[in-house]
Amino acid sequence: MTFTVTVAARAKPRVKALRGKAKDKFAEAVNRLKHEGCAAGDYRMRASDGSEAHMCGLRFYADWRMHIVFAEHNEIIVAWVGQHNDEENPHVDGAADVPQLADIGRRREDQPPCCDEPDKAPIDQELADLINALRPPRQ
Amino acid sequence: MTRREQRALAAGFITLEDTLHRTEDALQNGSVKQALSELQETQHTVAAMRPATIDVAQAAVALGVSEPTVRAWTRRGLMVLASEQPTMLTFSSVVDLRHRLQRLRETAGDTKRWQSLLAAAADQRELAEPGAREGLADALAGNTEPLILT
Repeated sequence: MTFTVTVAARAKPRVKALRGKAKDKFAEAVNRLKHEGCAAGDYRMRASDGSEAHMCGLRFYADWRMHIVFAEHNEIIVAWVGQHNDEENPHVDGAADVPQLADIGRRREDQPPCCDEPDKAPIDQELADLINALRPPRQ
Repeated sequence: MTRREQRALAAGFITLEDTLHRTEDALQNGSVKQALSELQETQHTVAAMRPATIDVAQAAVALGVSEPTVRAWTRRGLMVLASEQPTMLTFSSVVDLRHRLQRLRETAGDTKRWQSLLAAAADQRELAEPGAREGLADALAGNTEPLILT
């Protein structure tokens, strides 16, 4: 089975702006998506817009990532391309004073794989916002 | 504290003592409804007695963190600064954060819920990157274009 990879209209300029190694690695990742589908994605994401969209993140080069959405008829849509560094050190700026926050700096490898169904339990949005507010700023 | 404030505080404590006794009586008599009513009155009394502001040291004790953490969190907007010299925070913002931290700590005790919450928070951070939500909206609406790599 092969997949058709398209790009969201507002993400297209970001794709066109890719240069050098990031551009090469992006092309390689797209090629893998065409042949492997969700198996080529890295981690499952909640779309957090109320939809049941099958959305994943994919790290294709250093801190470069893309968000992909799986649509009908074997279409995979690149919804976003950009740099996202989620490796902040939790042990700075006082965050370590709250013991549980040490977990907040955990690695993405702990996320569910792209092909998995996400946990459908409702998320306490207020607490999710609090976690993000408590996280130390990027270094 | 002025004499007037001292009198108001004493009156508040007397009211609290009364309502706590009535709550105890109601519970001993098996009247949960009456006990709840008394507790609500207690909450009103406490609300009227509580100070408008709190200093950093008191906030640190209330939140169970260090003073530098309180200052850092205030800079990040987690609590509301009432005055800078001396540094005072609004009491309500500290109490609100205390409640949310308690809920967060409780959630952390449930591994499955905690992992799910961390994952959702991480996803939301990624979706907060410039253009991410717009791209998702386009993707979900079918507003897509062929991907041509040159």
